[in-house]
Amino acid sequence: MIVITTKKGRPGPTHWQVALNQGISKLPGAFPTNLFRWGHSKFGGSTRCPRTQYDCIQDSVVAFQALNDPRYTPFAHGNRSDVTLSASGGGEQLQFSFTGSASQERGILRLPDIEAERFRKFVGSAPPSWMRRPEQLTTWSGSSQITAALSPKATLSVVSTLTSQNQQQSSLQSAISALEGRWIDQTELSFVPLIPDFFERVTAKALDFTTSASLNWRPWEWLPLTAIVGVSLDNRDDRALLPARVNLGIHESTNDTLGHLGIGNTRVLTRTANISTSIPTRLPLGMQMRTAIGMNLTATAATAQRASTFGVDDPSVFDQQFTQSTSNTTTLGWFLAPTIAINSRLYVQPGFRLDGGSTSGTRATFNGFPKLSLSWVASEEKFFPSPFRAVFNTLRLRAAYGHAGVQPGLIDRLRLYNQPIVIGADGDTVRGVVGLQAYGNTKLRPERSTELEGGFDADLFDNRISIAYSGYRRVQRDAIIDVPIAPSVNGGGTRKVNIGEVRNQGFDVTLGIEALRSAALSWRVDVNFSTNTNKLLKLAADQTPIDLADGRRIVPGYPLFGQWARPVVGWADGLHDGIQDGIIDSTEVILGDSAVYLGWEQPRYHASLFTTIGLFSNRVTVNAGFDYQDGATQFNQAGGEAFLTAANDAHASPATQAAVAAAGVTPFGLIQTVNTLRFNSLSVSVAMPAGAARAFGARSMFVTVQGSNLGLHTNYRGLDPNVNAFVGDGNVDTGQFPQPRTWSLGVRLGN
Amino acid sequence: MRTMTTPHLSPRGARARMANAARGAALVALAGMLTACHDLLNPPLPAGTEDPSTFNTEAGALGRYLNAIEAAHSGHVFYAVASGKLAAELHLAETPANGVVGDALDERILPEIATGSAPGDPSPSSYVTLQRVRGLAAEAIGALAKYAPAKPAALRGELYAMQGFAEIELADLFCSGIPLSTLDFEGDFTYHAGSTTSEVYQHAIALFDTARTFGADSARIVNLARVGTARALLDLGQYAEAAQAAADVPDDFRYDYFVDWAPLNGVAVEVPILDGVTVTNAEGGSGLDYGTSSDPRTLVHQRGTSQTTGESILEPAAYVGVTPFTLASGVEARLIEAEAALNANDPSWLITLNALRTTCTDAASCPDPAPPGLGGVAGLPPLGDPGTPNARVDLLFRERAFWLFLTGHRQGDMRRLLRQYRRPQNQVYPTGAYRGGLGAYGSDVTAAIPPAERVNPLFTGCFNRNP
Repeated sequence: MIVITTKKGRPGPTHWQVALNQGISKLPGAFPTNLFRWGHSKFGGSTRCPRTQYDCIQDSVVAFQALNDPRYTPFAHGNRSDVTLSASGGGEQLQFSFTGSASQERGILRLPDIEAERFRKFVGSAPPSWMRRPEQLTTWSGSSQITAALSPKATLSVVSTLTSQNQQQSSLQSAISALEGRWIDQTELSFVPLIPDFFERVTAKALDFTTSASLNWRPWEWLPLTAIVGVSLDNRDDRALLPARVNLGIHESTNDTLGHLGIGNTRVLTRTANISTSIPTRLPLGMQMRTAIGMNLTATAATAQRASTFGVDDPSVFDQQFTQSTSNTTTLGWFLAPTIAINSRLYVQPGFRLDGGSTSGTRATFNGFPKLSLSWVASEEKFFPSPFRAVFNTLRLRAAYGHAGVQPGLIDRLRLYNQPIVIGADGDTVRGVVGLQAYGNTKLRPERSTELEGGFDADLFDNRISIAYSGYRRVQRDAIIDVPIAPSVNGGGTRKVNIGEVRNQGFDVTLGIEALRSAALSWRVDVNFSTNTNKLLKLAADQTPIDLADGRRIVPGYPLFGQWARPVVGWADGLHDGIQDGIIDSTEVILGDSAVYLGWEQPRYHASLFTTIGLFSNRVTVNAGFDYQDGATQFNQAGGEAFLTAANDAHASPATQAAVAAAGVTPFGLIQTVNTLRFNSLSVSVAMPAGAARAFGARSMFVTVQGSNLGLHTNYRGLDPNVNAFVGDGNVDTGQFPQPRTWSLGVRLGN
Repeated sequence: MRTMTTPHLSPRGARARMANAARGAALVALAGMLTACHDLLNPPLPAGTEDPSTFNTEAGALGRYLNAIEAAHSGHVFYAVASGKLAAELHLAETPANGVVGDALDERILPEIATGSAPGDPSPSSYVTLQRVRGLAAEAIGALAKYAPAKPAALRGELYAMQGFAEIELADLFCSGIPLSTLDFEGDFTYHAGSTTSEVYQHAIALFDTARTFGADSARIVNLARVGTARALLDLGQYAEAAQAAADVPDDFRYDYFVDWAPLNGVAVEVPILDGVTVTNAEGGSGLDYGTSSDPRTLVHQRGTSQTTGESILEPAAYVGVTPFTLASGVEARLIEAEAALNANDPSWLITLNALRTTCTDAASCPDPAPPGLGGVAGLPPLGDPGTPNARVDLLFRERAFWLFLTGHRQGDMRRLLRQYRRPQNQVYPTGAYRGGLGAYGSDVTAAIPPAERVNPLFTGCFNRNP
């Protein structure tokens, strides 16, 4: 917030700003082409048959990818427009700022032309616009901040935000997985849909209001108090509309849809109160202790309503259901953390931090975990060597050692039940049914961890270079994780267990370089590099190695949830049928006896680079960002399904064919350790001449061109390794479409 | 007036000392207040979570019983549909896309894979459903015993019987090596290693024994357990013992329950349970003529026409609307006795079969339609002896197929034809060209246990894929 005052301290003119942006987005690149083998029946006839048919003799290979074909592709250009207005001003006693924004965004999905034709054929009219372009998002928001000095010792600040979102979605997002490996038979399309269920419209409206007031009061010099009270109201309205009488010839047994409207409404009211202070206390030997104390009270009231009605067009089947649920929770949390300053350069946090709360259990417990942190500004010591003083503006060394713990939630231990709604064959609800909701684990123990961290922060060469380094080693004992349960136990499920001793270690280094610093040209580069390794050191006494049956395993000596698969160790053309045709199929692949470790789901190395170039006293600025990751394993399941449905390249080497053909029996060839270099962002901003700004009644005018996701260089055989169906549960690409590439043009005016 | 001062401290130092003391007192006060607040809130379980102790009542135990029974009833129905595809009672109505497995059960392509799920394979759902029946029944049995001891023991007997039938169906459909892990009431759970097909049938027999014990006061449960025992013994090839177990089951006994064959789903569209399939007719060369035989036990009517093949889509007349589904019956008991007699070269096997069909004793003099026999279906004239052992077995199994049509029995019978009667596979299961999909039937006669079971450290995969 900017405060403009006159020389005499009176409030100056209000500062305002207007920003307009218009952008477009599209899917970068093309989807990989699949090869389909066709032939003719050995029994004669002119009908083309797929190579996989038992009597089919191959005579051709056809390259095809439905997602690249303009007749079938569900992708188009998206666009976004937004405008932001802001105003701020005030004086010493009162400052204010107001901001309002509105945006309209259309996604990249569209109904394929051939599907629109089917709709026109069966319904008799063109599909409505919401069906043609189903992804829409409209947002508007407003915020305000007012700060008033009540007295020389007290200030009051009130912040409020109101946001409204109106979103529409579609099941077209499933199109990629349905189409990516599929051969499209034109004759089937007259009665079999290309994409199912695109005629269901789903909308979500959200309205969020937040307001908080914070009071900073220092009744005595040594007692700075901060009190914050806040109210947050979140309201969400979801609707799913299935029009009546929609029958697209999908299935002979599916009647015309009866029509359905489902409505869900959720309202959450949250009230919070925080009070905190930091009390200094003099200690002997010139030391000083500063004790941070804080308390937080949160009360949440949630109401959820569900209503659905169907048969809207046919009264004989009209039915209406309504459910409502409410919940109220109140939690209290607090902390007390002293810090001791031995002198102005050496700080010690003696590791006595008490945390209490009532977030998950019937009774709160004190988790008193010892911790010790040291921070030493070595560059301010008198004995700091002079040659180093010329180089280091600041050098601070830090280290920390501590214990922490996680108490398992009460619901993680207990076997829980619910009361599901069961409809009998007569259509009536069966009363009193009690279902099993969660298994629980009566043997679950608290998790304890120990962490050692060290590092330094340094500013060098007149603050032109800054370096921050942190190394850490954290060991969790009786680490609590979620593991699946085999289906032989009541059909399966998941529960929490103490898996054993897990270690995470790595380091993080950030380097900032102001390479050039002049009015004509400035150039700054910020680089971050980090690495992390995870390892299960040993299993708990009551645990055994776990095969999660999705390619991941929990094995001591390896990372948690590492990827494993039986390797392809060889191939033999004609292994079973004796026919050596130069084509390796799944029966001709030789697998190893045991699964081997292939990698971990998290990247081992991560680096990012952001650079800013300023020209002509920063009247022109260029920003660019890059991101690099290496070491994460990725399961290209979509690629595997494509391989299963399409033929592999008969001209490829046998090794390549074997990796592809084995997709049906082992994911070995579909799991990759990927590296990616992504050109994340580029923006060029130009300060326009004063005359141009004055033409709009402004004092400043900036024009900015900005792009994101501008390039990707990767060894991944799929499309984008950073877009997955499951994140944190194994990186599995089930056919999500990659991140779109966007470009936008913006104008910013201000006084 | 003298000014009172602290002897060895200046006023400024005294103020500083008092400020320090005040700070220390404030610290202590705050710490004390926070300590007190430790007990300020002792909320119950998080909102939306029912206290499990509220279900430790008689009503809660009965609620768990209802849940287990509902799961068992629907599980048996869906098993009948799934196994019916493998057993050539049902077939996909529409041709699947070329080069893609449309339905692994229908195409008999059921590979055992290490991870994920084989394309187009619906059998994992059956595995999960049937194992869930076992688990929920165990949970309900424990609850009834502890919290509803005054309720009829026959409730627990019925639950044991449901477990038994679930295990029979698991053994009928899936390969050898099925783990019978247990959900422990008011405890955790226990993984078990795989059991052979025979061991699963034997375990089912033990469950039926327990069912009879608890259901002693209920003829319905006792007879249900008798039929289950007889069915499992038949699967073990113990024909005489099977007949003995079935001997006391009345002719008119039926354990059935109503099923809505076209329930509405969450978006108000009727999704028939038999959606996407048609009753077969001589499928794959070896299948039976359910569709065209005009046999009153497998009456069908046309539901529509396949858009890909142009052929009629047939649905069983008995499974339209809300109709009973029979899990066990006196008819099945008599069929078991007939098979035992046939294996003992006792000519009463044909008498028993004909008694089910009609009261007529002579085909020539039997009116048309033939009056119903013990099976209660008119229009089934008496059968003649085909003369050869193989033909007699064919006739017996044909009668079983038609009497027990689409009740989840045929898959077990077809495996027995291979396993016990040494029939060649291509004379029992469909073979040859398959329209669409991968173009030809596979060679599997069992479904593989889903790879999700590998989470069980004692599970080592299918022991074999033998019938």
